[in-house]
Amino acid sequence: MSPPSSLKQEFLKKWIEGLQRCSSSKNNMSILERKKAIKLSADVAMASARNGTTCWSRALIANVSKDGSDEKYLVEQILGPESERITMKKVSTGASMVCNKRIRSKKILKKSTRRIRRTRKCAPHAALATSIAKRLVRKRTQVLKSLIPGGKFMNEVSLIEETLDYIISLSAQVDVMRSLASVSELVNHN
Amino acid sequence: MQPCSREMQAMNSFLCQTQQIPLENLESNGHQQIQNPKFEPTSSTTSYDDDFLEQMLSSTSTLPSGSWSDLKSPWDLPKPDDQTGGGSNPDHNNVGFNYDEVLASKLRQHQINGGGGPTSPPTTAMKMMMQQQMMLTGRAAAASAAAAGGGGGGGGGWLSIPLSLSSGNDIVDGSLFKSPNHQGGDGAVQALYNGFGGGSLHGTNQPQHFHHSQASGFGANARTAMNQTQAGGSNTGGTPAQPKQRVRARRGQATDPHSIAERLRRERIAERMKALQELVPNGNKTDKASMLDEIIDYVKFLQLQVKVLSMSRLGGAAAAVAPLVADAPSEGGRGDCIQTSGNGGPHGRNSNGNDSLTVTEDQVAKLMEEDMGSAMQYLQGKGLCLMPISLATAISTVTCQSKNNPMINNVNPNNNRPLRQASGGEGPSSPSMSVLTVQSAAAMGNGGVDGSIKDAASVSKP
Repeated sequence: MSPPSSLKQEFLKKWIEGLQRCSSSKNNMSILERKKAIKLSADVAMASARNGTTCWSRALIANVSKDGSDEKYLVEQILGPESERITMKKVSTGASMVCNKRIRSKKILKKSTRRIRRTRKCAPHAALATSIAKRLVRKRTQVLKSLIPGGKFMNEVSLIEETLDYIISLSAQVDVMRSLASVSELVNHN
Repeated sequence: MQPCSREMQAMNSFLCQTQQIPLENLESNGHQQIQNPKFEPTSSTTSYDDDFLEQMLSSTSTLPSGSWSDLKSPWDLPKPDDQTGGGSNPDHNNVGFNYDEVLASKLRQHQINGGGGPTSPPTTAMKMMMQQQMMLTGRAAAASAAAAGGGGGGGGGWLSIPLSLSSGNDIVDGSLFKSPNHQGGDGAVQALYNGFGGGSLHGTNQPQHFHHSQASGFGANARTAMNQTQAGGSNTGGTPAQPKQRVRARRGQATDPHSIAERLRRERIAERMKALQELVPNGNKTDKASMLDEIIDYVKFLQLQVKVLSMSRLGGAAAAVAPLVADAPSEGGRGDCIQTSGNGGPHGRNSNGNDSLTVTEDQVAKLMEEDMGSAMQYLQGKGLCLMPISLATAISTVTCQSKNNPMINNVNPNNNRPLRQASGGEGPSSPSMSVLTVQSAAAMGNGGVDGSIKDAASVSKP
């Protein structure tokens, strides 16, 4: 399903705001810096379009607004007063601690199950197939978690929900950017 | 819950010999020859007529509902006249009292009604029935009196046992005995009786269950029988008298909360995967693992597109090229997915992952600022090529269908650069042409693609 036009409009609005602020701050930027700025503003605009309803948007904004990063200033400019509210929603430190514990316990569990599996002699074919399938699925879930911002904190169900929303937002972002690019090219060409 | 109280054990030993008898009695409508149950009647029962017992026996075995309603009045009016040695045990004083009240009232009723006089064999059966009824009342009374002590002879012994039994009989008896357990004293009997009436109202099979469970419960297999009836009831879905809220399980599925939660979770995941299937192109995979694979590829693709588009917006030189993440660089194809999918692949390129990507990307961007040609050469050295973006969707669909599915990268060269002079080395002639780079030479291997690359004056794969 194509992203709804309301989402696109909101994204466009916020992005243009962000772009204006970016360009006003620095005049001489290298191509990379500019790319970064543009991408950043686009991402932040995308995330803020969700107004903190989804986990990935909050995680994205939180990642950008990490203390000690350059972009924080930019983000605060773009988002304005909302940024504090949105980042407060996600308890980053608490979540990260919990996440670390969870990761550690999962590793321990995995090691123990691996040992148990090794001691088991020859599993029947069906069980072997399912175990392989499960391993596959688990690996891919890990990859997906690394892709989605803030994915490592989610359980499987919410991960898939967030992926859904993230894909919609990304496709909206791409559409808007592409159309803007084509428009600007047309304008500049003439 | 196991019947582990000593009263229960005592009861078991006491009734083991007799457990079959009441069951048979219940199931059959006719009179049966019943063995001597070694029944130890309390002093109060010895005074009963055989006639009375026989009548009780026949009435209970044939029409439980009818008989219970007949008996209602005597149970409401317990009379203490015939109280004798039943209350010998101080602990069970009120219990014995209730016993005797009940039995005495029954006797009175019988005497009032007058009755025929059958022969003695049914008497023992009747005595068993009485015993059961007494146990039932005893349960209610004992519950109300909270006297679970084991003393005072056989009568005292089997008072407390039904109490322990009742704690385990959630499904079948809970609805019936809930009220008696909460009331005290005389009211217990009446409430018990109401429970009986209610049981009969619920359905014809309910009293049967009740009797079955009561009878079989006194045996050694009490617990398993209860569990079976419980399981049977819940599994076949027809349990109107269940006090707990339970998710009705389908046939052959477990009903414990863990598996239910697990099943709910799996259903939710399946729902969302279906929604994702519509979103992701080529998401017609049935397998969860391959569906996840498609999702991962698509998300990477979109992220890369955003990156490239953001570069193009710069109005910078020509295309800024970002190298690809090749998911399946091997010739083999999907069969190797176990090893090659994801960032954890065994290939060195993949293992370096995003670091090398961004480095290459930055390099190419820098080169492109100066000279398109040098950028092209750099790419060539890396094994990359440029491609028109108009092929982007086409390629993605083609590669989705094919075995290997390399990620494709969208790059937007923006030929209109207000800030920089357009260099003459621009390959693509059309203004809004974007460029794709595709890694994994072996994967593509399409001559046609190379041809179109050449059209765009791009570099072909080495």
